[in-house]
Amino acid sequence: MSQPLLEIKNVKKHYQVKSKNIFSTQKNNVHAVNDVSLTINEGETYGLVGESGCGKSTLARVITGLIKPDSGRVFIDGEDFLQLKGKSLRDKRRTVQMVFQKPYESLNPKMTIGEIIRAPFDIHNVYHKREREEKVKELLDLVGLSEKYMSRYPHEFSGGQRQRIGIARAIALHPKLIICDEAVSALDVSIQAQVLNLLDELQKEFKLTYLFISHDLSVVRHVSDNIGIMYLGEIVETGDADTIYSSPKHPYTEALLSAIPKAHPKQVKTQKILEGDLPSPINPPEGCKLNTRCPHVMSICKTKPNLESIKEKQKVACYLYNDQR
Amino acid sequence: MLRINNLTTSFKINKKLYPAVKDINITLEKGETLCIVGESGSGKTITSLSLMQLLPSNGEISSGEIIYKDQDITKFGKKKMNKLRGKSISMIFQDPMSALDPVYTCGYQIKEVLDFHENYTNEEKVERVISLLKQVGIPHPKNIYNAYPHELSGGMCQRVVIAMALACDPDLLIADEPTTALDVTIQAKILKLLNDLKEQRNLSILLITHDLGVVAEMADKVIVMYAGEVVEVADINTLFDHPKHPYTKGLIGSVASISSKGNQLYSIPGKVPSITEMPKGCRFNTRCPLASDKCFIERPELEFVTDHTSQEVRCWNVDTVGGKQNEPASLRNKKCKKTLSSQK
Repeated sequence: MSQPLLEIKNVKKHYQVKSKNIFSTQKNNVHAVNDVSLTINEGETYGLVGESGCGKSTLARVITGLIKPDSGRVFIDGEDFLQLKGKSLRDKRRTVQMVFQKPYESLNPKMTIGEIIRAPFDIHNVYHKREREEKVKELLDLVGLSEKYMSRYPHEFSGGQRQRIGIARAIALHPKLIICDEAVSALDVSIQAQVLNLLDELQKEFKLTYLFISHDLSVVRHVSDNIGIMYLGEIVETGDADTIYSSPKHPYTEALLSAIPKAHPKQVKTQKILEGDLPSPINPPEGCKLNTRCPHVMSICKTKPNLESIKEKQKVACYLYNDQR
Repeated sequence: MLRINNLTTSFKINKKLYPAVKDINITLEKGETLCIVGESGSGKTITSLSLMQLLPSNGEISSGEIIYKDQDITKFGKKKMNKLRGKSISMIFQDPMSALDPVYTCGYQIKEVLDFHENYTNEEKVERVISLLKQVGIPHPKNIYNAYPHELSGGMCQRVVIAMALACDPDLLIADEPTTALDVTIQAKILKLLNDLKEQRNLSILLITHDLGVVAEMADKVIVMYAGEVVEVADINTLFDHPKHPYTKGLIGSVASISSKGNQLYSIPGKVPSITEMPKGCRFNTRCPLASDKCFIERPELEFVTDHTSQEVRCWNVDTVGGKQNEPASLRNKKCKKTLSSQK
């Protein structure tokens, strides 16, 4: 197996919010990411799935260094990313790039496409100034856009084209890891397929590693080698994509997978609907976070289960399968 | 119950009229769910807004008729339409958070519908609102009655919107992308709720969506729209088993499947043409793998397919009743499959 490119260890991030009462000085914590560890090997695609509000995007931002976690460590290529400073941090940042969720909001409307894609070169001062233009043309060609678009502005493009521009910008510095935060969620199915195919081609060509964040389970299934399921800031199940999709173990994973609409009207499926709504991350339940909604809840679920291996390629945080009882 | 005949809705852009939807024909029976599928910009929402007569100020119904319960509602005045809207036909909008007014409580907003349409006393109305909230599966309906929309989650807000739409026992419910803004688990709950309500009340539902999974869960009959035109009409099983129009085939092919990890998805090249630059002939010709010279000159009509009596399609390359063809259909189907698989 290949080397681990990204290793996250016990990352924790809480946000402070003010209490509802305007006279109160009490502050509450939003438990966005709670003690998450994961490893991504070079060249693979790791899919991170979960409902909105489960901390997927916060985790992505911690990995790119856009926000500092409260505790925990992030290793990229064996180096502790969070300890780096100055020039070495700047250099390291080139290895991790991000494609954002909303193609309409992630491009500066006042810059031309050429300027947007050239920005990484200018910031990191790579290539000679005259070379940069050539490189931008190459990148546009790579993502399937014509070089005559260079002097146009983002509003002249459709959602799919903008996402291509976002991808061109992300691969400009030859990063090793690209984080796709809901990169195709805002697109129509036919355009979504185009962008997914493009990402696949780029991965083969540049041996990229993807962290693919999405709430769309079919898309994650399509692209991922390994996946992790998040619920209220914690990873509840992780492992090989084929194993998890064919035999989900955690009750939350089961419910999530059964909620996917069927692909064909004749397909028969049993739905396991969880009771109630997602609890607020301000005061999450004690112990296993699912204990307020889980159909198999036991008394031991008041204490937190650990993520433990049950098969070679599958880890679950649930007392139904762990022998910690 | 509902019949739309040759509906054309046009928009005025720079003093010129452009048809956003053209010659739409829809029939919907009582107790039936009809899905309209298509990408953004294909005219799905405009069709539903025309039906409710809630078009933006630069849009107008330029021809055609909408027959609802034997009356042409395009000829209705404002007052008559107001009486119909919310009472007999009601609508669920895409984004539940923005469909509710943030300064009123949820209960008040549902009660408003009753204030407008029904002659109940205030206590009766409050009681009715609470029973409605209970019906759509809201726990503690009395607390939610006094809650403001921002205090509720997206799924809860959508339930409130559905309760509002059901307040006056409508016969026809138009749902415009009711679950697009929601998570899968919540989506599953809302779809189940709509299906249950349909059975309990014998509702007719016109469901607008871009998600073929939702279609497979809900629909009895499906209409596929592309660039303001209906390109294929079929019942649900026929559509998934034997899609005929190249656009429908492309749509079904480009959905990522969860049963296996695929390599390359089939994708339709290009994008939906804009309303001001519609191509001549068949509107799909710029993206179609089968487009021939004829497709660029003459516009095909929506006609019945020869081997499926319940399926209509708008394409020169499919054998239709009354369609003039040069090639036998078997050959063309082979060609289509070949092009599709070579792109895969």
